[in-house]
Amino acid sequence: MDFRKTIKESLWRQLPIAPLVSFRILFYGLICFGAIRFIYSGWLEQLYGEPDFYFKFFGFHWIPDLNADQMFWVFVLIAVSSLLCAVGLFYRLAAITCFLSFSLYELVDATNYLNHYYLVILLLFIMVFQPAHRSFSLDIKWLGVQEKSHIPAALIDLIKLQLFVVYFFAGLAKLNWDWMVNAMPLAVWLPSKADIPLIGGLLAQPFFAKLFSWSGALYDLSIAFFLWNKRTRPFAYIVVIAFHLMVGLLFNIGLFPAIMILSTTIFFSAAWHEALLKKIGYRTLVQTENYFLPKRKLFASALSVYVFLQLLLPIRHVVYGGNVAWHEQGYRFGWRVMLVEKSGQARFFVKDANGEKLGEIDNSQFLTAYQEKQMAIQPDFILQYAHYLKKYHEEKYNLQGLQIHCDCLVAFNGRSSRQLIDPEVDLAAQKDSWLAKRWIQSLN
Amino acid sequence: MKLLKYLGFFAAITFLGSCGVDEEPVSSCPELSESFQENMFSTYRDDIILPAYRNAANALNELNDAYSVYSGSNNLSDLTALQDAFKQAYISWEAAEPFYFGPAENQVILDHFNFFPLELDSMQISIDNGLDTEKTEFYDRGFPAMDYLFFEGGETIVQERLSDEATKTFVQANLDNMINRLQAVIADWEGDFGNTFANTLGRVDGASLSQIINSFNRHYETIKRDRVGLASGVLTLNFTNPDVVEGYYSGISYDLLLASFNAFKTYYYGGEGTDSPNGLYALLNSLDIQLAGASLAAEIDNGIKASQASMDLIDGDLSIAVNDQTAEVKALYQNLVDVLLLTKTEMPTALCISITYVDNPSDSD
Repeated sequence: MDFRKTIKESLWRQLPIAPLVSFRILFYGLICFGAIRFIYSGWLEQLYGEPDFYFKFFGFHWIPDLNADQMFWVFVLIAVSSLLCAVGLFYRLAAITCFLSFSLYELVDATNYLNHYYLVILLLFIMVFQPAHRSFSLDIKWLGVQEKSHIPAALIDLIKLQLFVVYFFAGLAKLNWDWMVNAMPLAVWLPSKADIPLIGGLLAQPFFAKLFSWSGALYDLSIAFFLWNKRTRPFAYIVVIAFHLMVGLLFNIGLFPAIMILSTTIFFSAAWHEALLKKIGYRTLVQTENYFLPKRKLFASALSVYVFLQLLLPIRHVVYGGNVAWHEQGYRFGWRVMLVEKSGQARFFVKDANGEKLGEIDNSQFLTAYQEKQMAIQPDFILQYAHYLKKYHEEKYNLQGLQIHCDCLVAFNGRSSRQLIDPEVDLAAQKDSWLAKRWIQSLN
Repeated sequence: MKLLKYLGFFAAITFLGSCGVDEEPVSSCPELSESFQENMFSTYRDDIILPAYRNAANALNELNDAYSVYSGSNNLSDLTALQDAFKQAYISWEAAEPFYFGPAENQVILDHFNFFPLELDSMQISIDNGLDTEKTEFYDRGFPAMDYLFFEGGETIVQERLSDEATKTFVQANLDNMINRLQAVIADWEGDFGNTFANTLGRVDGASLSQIINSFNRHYETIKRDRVGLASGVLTLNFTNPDVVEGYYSGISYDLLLASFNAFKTYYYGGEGTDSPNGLYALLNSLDIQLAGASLAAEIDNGIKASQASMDLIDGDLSIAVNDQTAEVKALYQNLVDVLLLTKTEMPTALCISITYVDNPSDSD
């Protein structure tokens, strides 16, 4: 009982709002920058102008296929709404818009899935419910929204917890044979960066891959604890900056280092944030104005469910057994970051209802080279594509009962290639679900 | 602290759970000898790539000369000479086409030389409006356009076609564009890029070995898919497409395929055959790279020989063979597929070289 009481008191105690305000400005500012960067990079045309077929996440097949022009407006929406959130104008509406438009971008074509974009979606979702505009915002200045000086600690702790989950489960995912013993895939990736000035020579050394693997796992497993602890926080934050800058230097991971470096400032004290914000005109209220959640019990229940899901999703792969990095069942949304070097070639064959081979598929007729590369290593994409091929060919040639078979050879973390999919199985007859996919061949 | 203990225990269990006794050791990246790489890159530059480009340029200049002569005379014997020069130039180009990186990529030379099959409507627009030499990804120019203009319909129709002023302007603009781009490529190879290529060792993305392996595979995919697969009907539910072969109108599709495949072999061996000391074959051998107990170099060699044997069974024009020798063409396709698995997946994995020509245009993680 005491423990529960302590938790309750800890969650609902009132804390200064400043950390949330800083987070709002930094996080949404970064999202706005990212959206503008995306528009100007020409990626919209490449990612959404060329494909005829889009892959979807399980349960999201209803998401429409958008072309490059339509995606341009989605990104405009992301940029504008995130800017409004950063300055705190029409905050709630803008936060919802930003969450929905960013999610739409990620859901249109699942081959573009990135772990850090998934993190962005979760943080955007959390921010929808935050009173982040109740201080230092244009909503207060222009629209008369009531200013608050303090908010329940649970609201800030939720963001911290989300970041903790990312780090800790990323670290946990690294505790596997390939990463810890074979130093894979870093042993393959790091030598390819040997032209980087100063440290390039080191990267080509085999011991460095092992060192990087072990230190990466240690970092991920422990950094959130050190950030949470007041005494170790300054040192930990320096490590955060150094680690993410290093990773950003070595790999093409876009905004991920910036997202983590800026987001983890949420662990700092309110006084630290107030001092930071004062440099851009922030002032604290003279009188304490507490913000109380309108439906605290409902919030607490929703929070419990959310946290439970966040703890469950990364470990759901144990249900499927085998090597999750190989079969990828339970892989996504699990913070399994940079664990895999896979390349494969998937050939699809159309057979008639009697199993007589009619022909092979020219994948480039339907997919971009990048989509094909992604599809060839991810069984659920292979299944989706097989269903599409069946439908396409039955409609085009007025045939019924076509079978689709796949000969898919994949090289995984330094191993020679092997069959990912049972070539004897008619994939068109298989359904996607949460159940184990028996047509995936085991690694060994 | 109690929480930390629980989490530590959880981590230990997860680690133990994920490390089964059947875990296998995986190959680490083999060390690449610097002297081998230096010899290899010099050989590719001096003995393979530059000679191929120079031969292609000479043949293209001869084609240009033949076109000038024909434009002045309009007589039949000069047309025949023009057609012969075209065939020679097209076949010469095949030896140079695989090296699509660095200067060739800067010049987007594939788009301007050999995007096939030709799109007649696009070409007609370019004839009517003038050739936009800055445009890329248009199937309206290069050898495929001349293949049509110089051959389709027979001599009388060709002579009539080539007397049209707009067509004449288009052909000359097309030839000038090709010659200029090829000269720029050669100049780069003879200058700074050639030196950089010979001296960029290691396996970083963009290093010479990476460029060789990526362009080698990219080219091989065009043999498998564009030169054989699409025409054979293998990729179109057995409906053959004879008119999509390379050099359809001039009837030299088989010669072009052979030349293209020979270029691939030269690229792999680093010369004429397995005796060449500085090619990919020798590199794989020197590193003793094994695949299921067999030498990877030898496996690829066997695959190439099998493909060559299937190719030898095809009589003449590929556009005819896709219908008359269906089984042989399909066997050839299958042999080509078998080699691709070895070159595009096994070889880069064993050498720790990334296939970068299909990377995500945006970020990754």
